[in-house]
Amino acid sequence: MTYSINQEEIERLKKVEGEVRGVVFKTDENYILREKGEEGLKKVEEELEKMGVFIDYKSIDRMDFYPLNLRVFSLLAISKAFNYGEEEIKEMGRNAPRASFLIKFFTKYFMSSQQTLAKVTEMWAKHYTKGRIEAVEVSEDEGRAVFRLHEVNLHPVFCRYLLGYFSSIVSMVVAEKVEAKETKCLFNNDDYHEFYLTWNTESNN
Amino acid sequence: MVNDDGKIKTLTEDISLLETYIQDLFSFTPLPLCFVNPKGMVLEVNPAFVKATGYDEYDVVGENLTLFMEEKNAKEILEKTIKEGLVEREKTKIKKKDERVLPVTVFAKSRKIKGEGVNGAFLSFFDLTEVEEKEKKVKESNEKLREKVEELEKINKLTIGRELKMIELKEEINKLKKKLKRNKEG
Repeated sequence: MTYSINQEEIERLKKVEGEVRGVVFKTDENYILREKGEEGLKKVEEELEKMGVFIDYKSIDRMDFYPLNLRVFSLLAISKAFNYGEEEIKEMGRNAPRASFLIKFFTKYFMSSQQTLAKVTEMWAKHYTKGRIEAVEVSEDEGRAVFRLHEVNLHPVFCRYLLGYFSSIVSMVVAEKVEAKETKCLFNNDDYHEFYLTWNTESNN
Repeated sequence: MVNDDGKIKTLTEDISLLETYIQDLFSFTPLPLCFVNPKGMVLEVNPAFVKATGYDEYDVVGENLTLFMEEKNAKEILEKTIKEGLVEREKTKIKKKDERVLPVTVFAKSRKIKGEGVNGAFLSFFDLTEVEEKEKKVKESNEKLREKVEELEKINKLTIGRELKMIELKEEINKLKKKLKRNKEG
Protein backbone atom coordinates (compact mmCIF):
# COMPACT_ATOMS: atom_id res chain seq x y z
CA MET A 1 0.00 0.00 0.00
CA THR A 2 1.34 3.40 -0.95
CA TYR A 3 1.84 6.16 1.58
CA SER A 4 -0.81 8.82 1.55
CA ILE A 5 -0.90 12.40 2.70
CA ASN A 6 -3.76 14.85 3.02
CA GLN A 7 -3.72 18.58 2.41
CA GLU A 8 -3.52 19.35 6.11
CA GLU A 9 -0.37 17.23 6.46
CA ILE A 10 1.12 18.80 3.33
CA GLU A 11 0.64 22.23 4.84
CA ARG A 12 2.11 21.05 8.17
CA LEU A 13 5.18 19.63 6.41
CA LYS A 14 5.70 22.80 4.43
CA LYS A 15 6.09 24.63 7.70
CA VAL A 16 8.66 22.19 9.09
CA GLU A 17 11.94 23.90 9.81
CA GLY A 18 15.39 22.50 9.12
CA GLU A 19 17.50 21.63 6.14
CA VAL A 20 19.06 18.62 4.50
CA ARG A 21 21.98 18.20 2.12
CA GLY A 22 21.22 17.78 -1.57
CA VAL A 23 22.94 14.40 -1.66
CA VAL A 24 19.74 12.70 -0.48
CA PHE A 25 17.86 13.92 -3.55
CA LYS A 26 20.67 12.84 -5.88
CA THR A 27 20.42 9.40 -4.26
CA ASP A 28 16.67 9.35 -4.95
CA GLU A 29 17.30 10.46 -8.52
CA ASN A 30 19.88 7.68 -9.08
CA TYR A 31 17.51 5.08 -7.71
CA ILE A 32 14.56 6.23 -9.83
CA LEU A 33 16.67 6.40 -13.00
CA ARG A 34 18.05 2.91 -12.37
CA GLU A 35 14.68 1.35 -11.57
CA LYS A 36 12.28 3.36 -13.75
CA GLY A 37 14.34 5.46 -16.15
CA GLU A 38 13.70 9.05 -17.26
CA GLU A 39 9.96 8.37 -17.51
CA GLY A 40 9.99 7.42 -13.84
CA LEU A 41 11.62 10.69 -12.88
CA LYS A 42 8.91 12.58 -14.79
CA LYS A 43 6.22 10.63 -12.93
CA VAL A 44 7.78 11.58 -9.60
CA GLU A 45 7.96 15.23 -10.60
CA GLU A 46 4.27 15.08 -11.58
CA GLU A 47 3.40 13.65 -8.16
CA LEU A 48 5.40 16.41 -6.51
CA GLU A 49 3.49 18.99 -8.52
CA LYS A 50 0.21 17.55 -7.26
CA MET A 51 1.44 18.30 -3.73
CA GLY A 52 2.44 21.80 -4.82
CA VAL A 53 6.15 21.02 -4.48
CA PHE A 54 8.97 21.38 -6.98
CA ILE A 55 12.29 19.50 -6.92
CA ASP A 56 14.65 19.80 -9.89
CA TYR A 57 16.62 16.61 -9.21
CA LYS A 58 19.07 17.21 -12.04
CA SER A 59 20.24 20.58 -10.81
CA ILE A 60 20.50 19.66 -7.11
CA ASP A 61 23.94 20.26 -5.62
CA ARG A 62 25.01 17.33 -3.44
CA MET A 63 26.65 19.46 -0.77
CA ASP A 64 24.15 22.30 -0.68
CA PHE A 65 21.32 22.49 1.86
CA TYR A 66 17.61 22.28 0.95
CA PRO A 67 14.41 22.47 3.03
CA LEU A 68 14.01 19.33 5.15
CA ASN A 69 10.37 18.89 4.15
CA LEU A 70 11.47 18.16 0.56
CA ARG A 71 13.04 14.93 1.86
CA VAL A 72 9.61 13.64 2.78
CA PHE A 73 7.86 15.05 -0.28
CA SER A 74 10.39 13.26 -2.48
CA LEU A 75 9.76 9.91 -0.76
CA LEU A 76 5.99 10.39 -0.84
CA ALA A 77 6.05 11.25 -4.53
CA ILE A 78 8.14 8.15 -5.25
CA SER A 79 5.75 6.01 -3.20
CA LYS A 80 2.76 7.36 -5.12
CA ALA A 81 4.37 7.25 -8.56
CA PHE A 82 5.38 3.58 -8.31
CA ASN A 83 2.93 2.23 -5.73
CA TYR A 84 5.77 1.72 -3.27
CA GLY A 85 4.66 0.50 0.15
CA GLU A 86 6.58 -0.07 3.37
CA GLU A 87 8.83 -2.84 2.06
CA GLU A 88 9.76 -1.01 -1.16
CA ILE A 89 10.55 2.19 0.74
CA LYS A 90 12.66 0.22 3.23
CA GLU A 91 14.42 -1.45 0.30
CA MET A 92 15.02 1.96 -1.22
CA GLY A 93 16.60 3.09 2.05
CA ARG A 94 18.67 -0.08 2.13
CA ASN A 95 19.94 0.64 -1.37
CA ALA A 96 20.67 4.31 -0.74
CA PRO A 97 24.13 3.92 0.86
CA ARG A 98 25.25 1.87 -2.16
CA ALA A 99 25.14 4.87 -4.47
CA SER A 100 25.37 7.68 -1.99
CA PHE A 101 28.10 10.21 -1.73
CA LEU A 102 27.35 10.11 2.01
CA ILE A 103 29.17 6.82 2.20
CA LYS A 104 32.26 8.15 0.46
CA PHE A 105 32.15 11.15 2.74
CA PHE A 106 31.97 9.01 5.85
CA THR A 107 34.17 6.09 4.92
CA LYS A 108 36.60 7.23 7.55
CA TYR A 109 34.12 6.07 10.17
CA PHE A 110 33.65 2.59 8.77
CA MET A 111 36.15 0.82 10.97
CA SER A 112 33.96 -0.93 13.52
CA SER A 113 30.33 -0.85 14.52
CA GLN A 114 31.29 0.73 17.83
CA GLN A 115 33.04 3.60 16.10
CA THR A 116 30.44 3.94 13.36
CA LEU A 117 27.46 4.16 15.61
CA ALA A 118 29.33 6.37 18.02
CA LYS A 119 29.75 8.73 15.07
CA VAL A 120 26.14 8.52 13.94
CA THR A 121 25.30 11.69 15.80
CA GLU A 122 28.04 13.51 13.97
CA MET A 123 27.00 12.01 10.65
CA TRP A 124 23.44 13.11 11.19
CA ALA A 125 24.44 16.64 12.13
CA LYS A 126 26.47 17.01 8.97
CA HIS A 127 23.49 16.21 6.79
CA TYR A 128 20.48 17.39 8.72
CA THR A 129 20.24 20.69 10.53
CA LYS A 130 17.35 19.37 12.61
CA GLY A 131 17.08 16.35 14.89
CA ARG A 132 19.54 14.45 16.99
CA ILE A 133 20.64 10.83 16.97
CA GLU A 134 21.54 9.09 20.20
CA ALA A 135 23.42 5.78 20.19
CA VAL A 136 21.78 4.01 23.12
CA GLU A 137 23.53 0.67 22.80
CA VAL A 138 26.13 -0.76 20.48
CA SER A 139 27.33 -4.29 21.08
CA GLU A 140 29.37 -5.93 18.38
CA ASP A 141 29.69 -9.09 20.51
CA GLU A 142 25.97 -9.38 21.03
CA GLY A 143 25.17 -8.29 17.48
CA ARG A 144 22.88 -5.49 18.57
CA ALA A 145 22.62 -1.73 18.15
CA VAL A 146 19.91 0.60 19.36
CA PHE A 147 19.68 4.25 18.59
CA ARG A 148 17.14 6.96 18.88
CA LEU A 149 16.20 9.86 16.70
CA HIS A 150 14.92 12.89 18.55
CA GLU A 151 13.04 16.00 17.44
CA VAL A 152 12.24 14.90 13.89
CA ASN A 153 8.54 14.60 13.29
CA LEU A 154 8.18 14.33 9.54
CA HIS A 155 6.21 11.35 8.21
CA PRO A 156 6.18 7.53 8.69
CA VAL A 157 7.60 7.13 5.18
CA PHE A 158 10.81 8.72 6.43
CA CYS A 159 10.99 6.30 9.41
CA ARG A 160 10.70 3.37 7.03
CA TYR A 161 13.36 4.76 4.74
CA LEU A 162 15.75 5.34 7.65
CA LEU A 163 15.17 1.79 8.87
CA GLY A 164 16.50 0.43 5.57
CA TYR A 165 19.23 3.03 5.41
CA PHE A 166 20.66 2.33 8.87
CA SER A 167 20.44 -1.43 8.45
CA SER A 168 22.47 -1.13 5.25
CA ILE A 169 25.13 1.08 6.85
CA VAL A 170 25.54 -1.25 9.85
CA SER A 171 25.58 -4.26 7.55
CA MET A 172 28.54 -2.74 5.70
CA VAL A 173 30.39 -2.32 8.98
CA VAL A 174 29.71 -5.70 10.57
CA ALA A 175 29.77 -7.63 7.29
CA GLU A 176 26.55 -9.44 8.21
CA LYS A 177 22.91 -9.24 7.19
CA VAL A 178 21.20 -6.85 9.60
CA GLU A 179 17.57 -7.06 10.72
CA ALA A 180 16.03 -3.73 11.71
CA LYS A 181 12.80 -2.64 13.30
CA GLU A 182 11.45 0.62 14.63
CA THR A 183 10.47 -0.10 18.22
CA LYS A 184 9.31 3.41 19.08
CA CYS A 185 7.94 6.18 16.91
CA LEU A 186 6.74 9.73 17.37
CA PHE A 187 3.74 8.83 15.23
CA ASN A 188 2.79 6.20 17.85
CA ASN A 189 2.86 8.87 20.53
CA ASP A 190 6.31 7.84 21.76
CA ASP A 191 8.84 10.50 22.73
CA TYR A 192 11.31 9.59 19.99
CA HIS A 193 12.00 7.16 17.15
CA GLU A 194 13.93 4.08 18.26
CA PHE A 195 15.68 1.81 15.78
CA TYR A 196 16.64 -1.68 16.91
CA LEU A 197 19.20 -3.48 14.77
CA THR A 198 20.42 -7.05 15.17
CA TRP A 199 22.84 -9.29 13.30
CA ASN A 200 24.40 -12.72 13.66
CA THR A 201 27.57 -13.05 15.69
CA GLU A 202 29.49 -16.06 17.00
CA SER A 203 27.96 -15.58 20.45
CA ASN A 204 24.32 -15.28 19.41
CA ASN A 205 24.38 -17.99 16.71
CA MET B 1 35.59 41.00 7.52
CA VAL B 2 33.94 37.76 6.46
CA ASN B 3 31.26 36.62 8.89
CA ASP B 4 30.59 32.97 9.87
CA ASP B 5 27.86 32.56 7.24
CA GLY B 6 30.28 33.81 4.58
CA LYS B 7 32.96 31.39 5.75
CA ILE B 8 30.52 28.47 5.75
CA LYS B 9 29.36 29.42 2.25
CA THR B 10 32.96 29.57 1.01
CA LEU B 11 33.82 26.25 2.66
CA THR B 12 30.71 24.59 1.22
CA GLU B 13 31.65 25.83 -2.24
CA ASP B 14 35.21 24.55 -1.75
CA ILE B 15 33.93 21.13 -0.67
CA SER B 16 31.62 21.01 -3.70
CA LEU B 17 34.54 21.81 -6.01
CA LEU B 18 36.75 19.21 -4.35
CA GLU B 19 34.01 16.63 -4.51
CA THR B 20 33.50 17.31 -8.23
CA TYR B 21 37.25 17.12 -8.83
CA ILE B 22 37.61 13.80 -6.97
CA GLN B 23 34.54 12.42 -8.69
CA ASP B 24 35.78 13.46 -12.14
CA LEU B 25 39.19 11.93 -11.50
CA PHE B 26 37.69 8.72 -10.11
CA SER B 27 35.30 8.48 -13.08
CA PHE B 28 37.91 9.34 -15.69
CA THR B 29 40.50 6.69 -14.90
CA PRO B 30 40.20 3.67 -17.22
CA LEU B 31 41.54 1.40 -14.47
CA PRO B 32 38.89 -0.47 -12.45
CA LEU B 33 39.07 0.73 -8.83
CA CYS B 34 37.25 -0.02 -5.63
CA PHE B 35 37.50 1.02 -2.00
CA VAL B 36 36.86 -1.54 0.74
CA ASN B 37 36.73 -1.35 4.53
CA PRO B 38 39.00 -3.56 6.70
CA LYS B 39 36.38 -6.32 6.64
CA GLY B 40 36.43 -6.36 2.86
CA MET B 41 33.06 -4.70 2.37
CA VAL B 42 33.01 -2.67 -0.84
CA LEU B 43 32.16 0.97 -0.23
CA GLU B 44 32.87 2.48 -3.62
CA VAL B 45 33.59 1.48 -7.20
CA ASN B 46 34.39 3.60 -10.24
CA PRO B 47 32.75 3.45 -13.70
CA ALA B 48 35.71 1.48 -15.10
CA PHE B 49 35.04 -1.19 -12.48
CA VAL B 50 31.38 -1.29 -13.45
CA LYS B 51 32.35 -1.63 -17.13
CA ALA B 52 34.94 -4.33 -16.51
CA THR B 53 32.89 -6.51 -14.14
CA GLY B 54 29.29 -5.83 -15.14
CA TYR B 55 28.40 -5.12 -11.49
CA ASP B 56 26.94 -1.65 -10.88
CA GLU B 57 27.09 0.24 -7.58
CA TYR B 58 23.81 -1.24 -6.37
CA ASP B 59 25.11 -4.78 -7.00
CA VAL B 60 28.46 -4.44 -5.35
CA VAL B 61 28.56 -1.61 -2.79
CA GLY B 62 27.80 -3.08 0.63
CA GLU B 63 28.84 -6.56 -0.52
CA ASN B 64 32.03 -8.37 0.38
CA LEU B 65 35.01 -8.62 -1.98
CA THR B 66 34.21 -12.33 -2.17
CA LEU B 67 31.29 -11.42 -4.44
CA PHE B 68 33.81 -11.20 -7.26
CA MET B 69 37.07 -12.59 -5.82
CA GLU B 70 37.97 -16.01 -4.52
CA GLU B 71 37.64 -15.91 -0.72
CA LYS B 72 41.20 -17.05 0.03
CA ASN B 73 42.74 -14.57 -2.41
CA ALA B 74 40.58 -11.69 -1.24
CA LYS B 75 41.47 -12.34 2.39
CA GLU B 76 45.19 -12.68 1.70
CA ILE B 77 45.42 -9.55 -0.43
CA LEU B 78 43.42 -7.46 2.03
CA GLU B 79 45.39 -8.66 5.06
CA LYS B 80 48.69 -8.02 3.28
CA THR B 81 47.55 -4.54 2.22
CA ILE B 82 46.46 -3.60 5.72
CA LYS B 83 49.67 -5.00 7.20
CA GLU B 84 52.19 -3.72 4.66
CA GLY B 85 50.38 -0.67 3.31
CA LEU B 86 51.00 -1.53 -0.31
CA VAL B 87 50.55 -4.57 -2.51
CA GLU B 88 51.72 -4.65 -6.09
CA ARG B 89 51.18 -7.06 -8.96
CA GLU B 90 49.34 -9.80 -7.06
CA LYS B 91 47.90 -12.12 -9.66
CA THR B 92 44.34 -13.26 -9.08
CA LYS B 93 41.06 -13.76 -10.87
CA ILE B 94 37.81 -11.85 -10.63
CA LYS B 95 34.42 -13.27 -11.46
CA LYS B 96 32.26 -11.00 -13.60
CA LYS B 97 28.52 -10.65 -13.12
CA ASP B 98 27.97 -12.89 -16.16
CA GLU B 99 30.12 -15.55 -14.39
CA ARG B 100 33.02 -15.15 -16.80
CA VAL B 101 36.40 -15.11 -15.12
CA LEU B 102 38.85 -12.29 -15.66
CA PRO B 103 42.59 -12.76 -14.96
CA VAL B 104 43.96 -9.64 -13.25
CA THR B 105 46.87 -8.24 -11.30
CA VAL B 106 45.90 -6.32 -8.20
CA PHE B 107 47.54 -3.17 -6.93
CA ALA B 108 46.31 -2.21 -3.47
CA LYS B 109 47.02 0.57 -1.02
CA SER B 110 45.75 0.97 2.50
CA ARG B 111 44.05 4.19 3.56
CA LYS B 112 44.99 5.60 6.92
CA ILE B 113 43.22 8.18 9.00
CA LYS B 114 45.47 10.30 11.12
CA GLY B 115 45.26 9.13 14.71
CA GLU B 116 42.81 6.32 13.93
CA GLY B 117 44.76 3.82 11.82
CA VAL B 118 43.83 1.95 8.69
CA ASN B 119 40.19 2.34 7.70
CA GLY B 120 40.28 0.47 4.41
CA ALA B 121 42.07 -0.05 1.15
CA PHE B 122 41.97 1.03 -2.46
CA LEU B 123 42.22 -1.85 -4.92
CA SER B 124 42.88 -1.51 -8.63
CA PHE B 125 42.67 -4.32 -11.13
CA PHE B 126 44.72 -4.59 -14.28
CA ASP B 127 43.02 -6.83 -16.81
CA LEU B 128 45.41 -9.53 -17.99
CA THR B 129 43.09 -11.03 -20.59
CA GLU B 130 44.97 -9.54 -23.55
CA VAL B 131 48.37 -10.22 -22.01
CA GLU B 132 47.42 -13.82 -21.29
CA GLU B 133 46.00 -14.26 -24.80
CA LYS B 134 49.26 -12.96 -26.26
CA GLU B 135 51.24 -15.20 -23.93
CA LYS B 136 49.10 -18.12 -25.06
CA LYS B 137 49.73 -17.24 -28.71
CA VAL B 138 53.49 -16.94 -28.09
CA LYS B 139 53.42 -20.29 -26.28
CA GLU B 140 51.50 -21.86 -29.16
CA SER B 141 53.93 -20.35 -31.69
CA ASN B 142 56.87 -21.66 -29.65
CA GLU B 143 55.27 -25.08 -29.53
CA LYS B 144 54.76 -25.07 -33.29
CA LEU B 145 58.33 -23.90 -33.76
CA ARG B 146 59.61 -26.67 -31.49
CA GLU B 147 57.64 -29.25 -33.46
CA LYS B 148 59.11 -27.91 -36.73
CA VAL B 149 62.62 -28.02 -35.29
CA GLU B 150 62.07 -31.61 -34.17
CA GLU B 151 60.75 -32.47 -37.62
CA LEU B 152 63.75 -30.80 -39.24
CA GLU B 153 66.05 -32.65 -36.88
CA LYS B 154 64.41 -35.91 -37.90
CA ILE B 155 64.76 -35.04 -41.60
CA ASN B 156 68.29 -33.94 -40.97
CA LYS B 157 69.08 -37.18 -39.22
CA LEU B 158 67.49 -39.14 -42.03
CA THR B 159 69.33 -37.14 -44.69
CA ILE B 160 72.66 -37.44 -42.91
CA GLY B 161 71.99 -41.15 -42.27
CA ARG B 162 71.24 -41.62 -45.93
CA GLU B 163 74.38 -39.79 -46.99
CA LEU B 164 76.49 -41.78 -44.55
CA LYS B 165 74.94 -44.96 -45.91
CA MET B 166 75.75 -43.82 -49.43
CA ILE B 167 79.33 -43.12 -48.42
CA GLU B 168 79.49 -46.57 -46.83
CA LEU B 169 78.00 -48.12 -49.95
CA LYS B 170 80.42 -46.22 -52.17
CA GLU B 171 83.28 -47.48 -50.05
CA GLU B 172 81.87 -51.00 -50.25
CA ILE B 173 81.56 -50.69 -54.03
CA ASN B 174 85.11 -49.43 -54.25
CA LYS B 175 86.32 -52.29 -52.13
CA LEU B 176 84.40 -54.77 -54.30
CA LYS B 177 85.71 -53.12 -57.44
CA LYS B 178 89.26 -53.41 -56.14
CA LYS B 179 88.62 -57.04 -55.15
CA LEU B 180 87.17 -57.80 -58.57
CA LYS B 181 90.12 -56.16 -60.26
CA ARG B 182 92.55 -58.17 -58.16
CA ASN B 183 90.65 -61.37 -58.97
CA LYS B 184 90.79 -60.60 -62.70
CA GLU B 185 94.49 -59.82 -62.52
CA GLY B 186 95.22 -62.84 -60.36
